[in-house]
Amino acid sequence: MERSYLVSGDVTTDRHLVTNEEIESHPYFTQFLAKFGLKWIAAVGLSPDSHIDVAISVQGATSRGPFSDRELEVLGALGAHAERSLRLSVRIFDQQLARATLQQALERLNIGVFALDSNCRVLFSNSAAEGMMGDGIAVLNRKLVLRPMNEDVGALDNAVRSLATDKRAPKPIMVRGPNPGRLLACYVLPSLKGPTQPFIGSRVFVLLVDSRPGDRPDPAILRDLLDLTLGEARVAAVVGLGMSPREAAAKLGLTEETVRTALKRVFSKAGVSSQSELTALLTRLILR
Amino acid sequence: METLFITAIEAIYAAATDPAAWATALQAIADCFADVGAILVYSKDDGSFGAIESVSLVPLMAEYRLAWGHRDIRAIRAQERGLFIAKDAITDADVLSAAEMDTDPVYTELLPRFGLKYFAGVSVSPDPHIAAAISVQRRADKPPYSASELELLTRLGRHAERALRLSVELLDAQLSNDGMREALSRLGIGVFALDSLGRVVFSNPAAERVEGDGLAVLGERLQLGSAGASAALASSLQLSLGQAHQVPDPKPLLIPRNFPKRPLTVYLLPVSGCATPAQEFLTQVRVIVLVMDPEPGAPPDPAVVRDVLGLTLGEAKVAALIGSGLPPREAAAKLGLTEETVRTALKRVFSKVGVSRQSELTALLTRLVLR
Repeated sequence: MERSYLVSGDVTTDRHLVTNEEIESHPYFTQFLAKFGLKWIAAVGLSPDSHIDVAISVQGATSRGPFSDRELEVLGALGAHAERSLRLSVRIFDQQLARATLQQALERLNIGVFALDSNCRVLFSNSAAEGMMGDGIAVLNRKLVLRPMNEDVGALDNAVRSLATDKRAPKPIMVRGPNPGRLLACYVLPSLKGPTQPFIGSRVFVLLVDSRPGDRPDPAILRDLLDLTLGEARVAAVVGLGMSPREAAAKLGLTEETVRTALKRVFSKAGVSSQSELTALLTRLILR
Repeated sequence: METLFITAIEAIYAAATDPAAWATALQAIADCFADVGAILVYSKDDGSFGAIESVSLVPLMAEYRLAWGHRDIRAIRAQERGLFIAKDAITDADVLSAAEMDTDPVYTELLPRFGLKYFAGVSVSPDPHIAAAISVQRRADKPPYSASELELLTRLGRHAERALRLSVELLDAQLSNDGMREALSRLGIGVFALDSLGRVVFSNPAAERVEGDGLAVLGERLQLGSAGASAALASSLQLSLGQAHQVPDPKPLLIPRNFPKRPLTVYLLPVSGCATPAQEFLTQVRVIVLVMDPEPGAPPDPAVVRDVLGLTLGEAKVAALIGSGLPPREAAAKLGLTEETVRTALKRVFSKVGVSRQSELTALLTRLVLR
């Protein structure tokens, strides 16, 4: 390694590195390797990616004699194959790891995701999406079926088909959520640039967003984010869902006056001037 | 002979990451037999199908696609008789008799036109949903394929199948990632995936919009504009994958900036899930950084608001402005209407949408309407 012998593609063996005297006398050979009946080594350097260096080394028994040039050629050829294989592995593992984490991010946001093929068959769905299924959204025979509020049963198929021809994104499809009063907006995302891949075909993503406010933001987070006191943060959290000061007061066991005063301070610290602006701000700040 | 085989293997695996390279790989396969060319045909259980051919067979396939797909007796019989289930590699004799070969149009009209006759085929199905086969075509003056040639094709077929399987895995993950990054962009959330040194491995369009005085990518590395955030990022990067450090609810970090004034909100999500040490050394991504800009940016597109909330376009224009936090007087000024008109429209919007306050409308809009 000191002499940079194992740059990608290079093959090296004992005679490039040590003298015969060293082989016969150095403790590494006489005390360590000899204990295992080993003596000779041949190694090849590989680099599957600019950030990663790898070496594969073959250990030979004491009895086999030094590695010949021909054997080093073979090792070099094998090394090239190993490098190609590692390169593939790097790409696949990285993409799979990234995918798992991005999926987590979308889960935390409570955004439902369906990945469909061009026939609306479900290739993947996250648990947020599964939690949104009900009257409005179902999977039948592996196909995603939407029942829009406007009764246009062909809306999803039309949206998917339009991706091939229209530049603009299709309209969102509104469906009923699993609970009364809950509305879901289904966005069919335009296919990404690039030709249709052979074997995989095209992929369509459907995003599902929920009208329901979801859980109240954690007041501790708001306090830190906006430099509020915990009390102000509690008020901000509740009003941030769209509640009126009176409802907020009832919920928090405070007087309406107290809530309004706290709100004024929150507005000032957060740099907003209406409850509406505060709501807009909070929704953009918090991962649900 | 051995060199041709190795060349074919290398070409096959090169196609695993680059489907465009299959044409070359198919020629390399055909070269192992000193034959004209080869074709990869595939069909999926969703009804889609296709074929990729080596350059030498382009004229044949042009003709084939025009008029022969549904009357290729070889493909039809191979399918019907489940030939690929019983045998690894098949050839003409497995599909039809010598007498049939003398009269079937594929052998009397199509193939002779291109100087071809015998074929050998091998199944290369990469997964249960995809049926694929590679067939090699030889010049008309060559004898039928021998048993040892079929064995060689079987060996090549195994590699092709493995390469296809890798392709599918890789493309599948890539497409998912692209889709999710795009989805997060539409939600206004920037994504940066970082390696253990903080270098950006990938990002999305929303991330690029967020770069400025609070956050920047310098020399490939993500720099966060606050000491606290930088320290948190550094410690996130230190965490090894092996540890079970699932952070159930990562705390957001604030990155102050000068313009716009509101700080950026940043969430650090360490990746987890590498089962083996090998996977750990082979992967780059260590932390995914989500960035949210609290600045509202432009109000939502009224057309989308109209579609999402079921309003008229006029009502949607009012709803879009009010829903982004504007008071009615300012909304009126922006739209060139009187405040009275705006308030009336707003009442109708509230009624249609089922809310009773501006902040409720805002909560709904900010959640439901994607950029």
